[in-house]
Amino acid sequence: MKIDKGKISGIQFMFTVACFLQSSSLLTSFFTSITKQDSWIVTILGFIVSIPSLLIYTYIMKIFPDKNLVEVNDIVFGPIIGKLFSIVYLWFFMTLSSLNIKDLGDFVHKTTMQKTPAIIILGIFMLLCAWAVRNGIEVVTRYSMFFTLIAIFIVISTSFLTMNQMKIDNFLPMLNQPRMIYIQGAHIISTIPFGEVMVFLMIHPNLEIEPKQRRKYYTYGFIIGGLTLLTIVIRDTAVLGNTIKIFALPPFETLRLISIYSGLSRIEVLFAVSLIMLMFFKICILYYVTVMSIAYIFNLKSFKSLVISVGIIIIMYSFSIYPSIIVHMNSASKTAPFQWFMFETILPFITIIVAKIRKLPKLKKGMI
Amino acid sequence: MVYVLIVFTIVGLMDLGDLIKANKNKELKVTIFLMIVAFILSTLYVLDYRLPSIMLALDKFVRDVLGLGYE
Amino acid sequence: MVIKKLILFKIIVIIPITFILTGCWDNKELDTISIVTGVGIDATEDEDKIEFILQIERVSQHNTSPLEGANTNDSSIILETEAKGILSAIEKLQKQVTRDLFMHHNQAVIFGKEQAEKGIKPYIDAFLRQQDMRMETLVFVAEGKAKDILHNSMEQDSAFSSGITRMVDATNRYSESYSVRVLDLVSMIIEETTAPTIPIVRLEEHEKELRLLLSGLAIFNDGGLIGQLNEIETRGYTWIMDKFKTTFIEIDIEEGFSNLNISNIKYNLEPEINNENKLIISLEIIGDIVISEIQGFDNMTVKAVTDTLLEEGKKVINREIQTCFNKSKELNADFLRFGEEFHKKFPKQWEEIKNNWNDMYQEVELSTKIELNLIDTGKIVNSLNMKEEN
Repeated sequence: MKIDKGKISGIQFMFTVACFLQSSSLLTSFFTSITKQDSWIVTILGFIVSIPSLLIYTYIMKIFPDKNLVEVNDIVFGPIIGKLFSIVYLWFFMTLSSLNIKDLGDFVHKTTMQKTPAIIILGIFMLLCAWAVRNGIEVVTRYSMFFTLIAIFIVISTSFLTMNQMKIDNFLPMLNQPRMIYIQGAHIISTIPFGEVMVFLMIHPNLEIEPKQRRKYYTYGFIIGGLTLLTIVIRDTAVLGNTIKIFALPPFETLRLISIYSGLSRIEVLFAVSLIMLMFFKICILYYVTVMSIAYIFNLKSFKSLVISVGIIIIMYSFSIYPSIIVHMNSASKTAPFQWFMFETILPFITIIVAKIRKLPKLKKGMI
Repeated sequence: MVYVLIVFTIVGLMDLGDLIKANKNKELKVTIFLMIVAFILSTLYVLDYRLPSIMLALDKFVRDVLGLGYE
Repeated sequence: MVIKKLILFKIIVIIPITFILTGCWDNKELDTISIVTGVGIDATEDEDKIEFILQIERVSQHNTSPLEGANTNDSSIILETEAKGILSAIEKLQKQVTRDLFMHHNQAVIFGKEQAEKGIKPYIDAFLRQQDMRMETLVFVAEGKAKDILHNSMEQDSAFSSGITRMVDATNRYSESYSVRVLDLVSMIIEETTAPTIPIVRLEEHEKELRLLLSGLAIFNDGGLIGQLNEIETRGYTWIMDKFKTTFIEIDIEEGFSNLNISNIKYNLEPEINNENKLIISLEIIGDIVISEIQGFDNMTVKAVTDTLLEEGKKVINREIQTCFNKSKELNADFLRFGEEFHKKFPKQWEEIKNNWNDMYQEVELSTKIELNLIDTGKIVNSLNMKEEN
């Protein structure tokens, strides 16, 4: 029973996942302030650690190919407990949307438009997102390839432009920090950028490719996004050296340093452009998933009328979510990884276990 | 405050009109419920009252009760 | 048909609106901003306060002719005030100007010598924290007061800051030790055992005209300025830090005088800890030599001359390096970043070494190996004075 009849192709899905991950790569300060010059090692570790979660998601996608997460909860846990689980997920999705839109609003407000009240920036932005979401998933993911390729282009070209300022010994000394830092860093990375792809469990019924191939495209998108993140971390560490730990936005500072014969400088505007572009995409997806969760929880037939109200709620929620950026960074590096881990890994895992115990789904011929 | 009212009237006209005509009761109820929530939140924001942060409470819960959390 | 026209009309209206109104709340028109191009920080009698000087580039209607030489003060304005912190000073100065102060194009930050001795670390924070202060701004120490440097402009460029920035750019083609950006300074301050270095600018009287010079480097430690390097020591510093791209080596011996141009410099620095726990740095420099000028060397063959020159060249480089290294031991300031080299290569032992670094630094030995290869002698091979080969 699908509310949104849009269809997404496999390649579109792959670029969607990649774009989603790339947008988190612009907010690397959560872990670079902790792991400093070993951030690239921690990125690779985090990638490896999040592979089990990825397997969990693809497994759910395989055994319930045309049911999204809320419906899966209903089937596996029964109507009442299933709805409870779905409401918990709904809170998670809404928090993610609000956090991301808060990040975007803060960035635009503090760096470029100091006098414009934040709500106007957010309001106009959400208006555009609401328009996209109203038109369904196909519109939302239509530009994924374009955005992903632009982001990759910006990352590669800025890496070349800063090559003359890179120093290999900015990576030394390697592996010299207390072990807890590596664990903490890998945990942060596996939950904050990489684990958030679980929201795609709400979208996968709209894929028009076979269940077997979904895993392939999902994984490819994951890898593209992860590689972009790794490139950005390596580039920033090589250029900024030991100063990476003091900056709130390391890629921004790296781009500020590019200047070729005073003709080609002030490139940080590219950072702002790509951040807004990628965040737009990510927030659209999270927004869409939130609206969809509400629609499926209440068994509605159409979702269009909910869109604007949910948008306003998300904006208002984002104002109250953290009182200041310091608290935000504190929470993100210290306690948020555990909370997110529960939503992203433990709950889906419980879903699989209960599904297995109850021998669901009722097998049709030729399914698994 | 005036802006809040204007925005919500516009939104209401846009969405509710279609729903009432098509007689989709369930959607109507949910939509109105969400609009009310959004309206309350916006009014609180306009009146400069900031809600307490849920995330902070959850953080405290995770840190103190469950004992998880990096230094 | 009518509907299509309506849609087209809407699009035509909306697109210009998006171009004009975007960000209009925050627009900064060119005639509402004052572009700050230089910042100076001087000491005052008051212990806590600093004297803050801004150089503002005047955006004028007509160009003052650059050939007018002396009359170049017209295009920049200097503002001064006293305050405890940098942002308080900017706030105060904002009340003296008719436009918004726009810091994004700031080219240089100069600390007066007295202030440098008192300490610069407290004031660096503002330059890092503010969104509109950039990391690539160059930092200098003024021999004297920063105010004097900012007040006097240079011959070919009307404003001090763009002048000094171009001078540093020009110098960068030969040696990079005179260009220290805020980012480099912060990087040096973060390293625990390194003493930061900042280039010094000086005014020189030259037939009733004041000219600016880059002369030497200032050495800091946590508290403030502790010493200066002169020409030769700065050259030694540049050798050790691998900041020379190409330079001239002057050879002045009994037999004659010569100038060698060294380029294509290959550099290798290895820290070692030998068995008796002695810290040794081995430095290897390989360069290509082109003979640029020969005076004297009467009656010697070309081969003898070139061999002598290469030998003497090595001695000169060694001397410069040793002079610099001795100075650093004298000041007990590790501005050569040797501590960081040990940190990077021997992280485990570094934990113990760094606590005693002040004492252990005196024991560090520097061993150099220099190789020079003669590749070219210019348009002629034999100098007019030399003996012809048979």
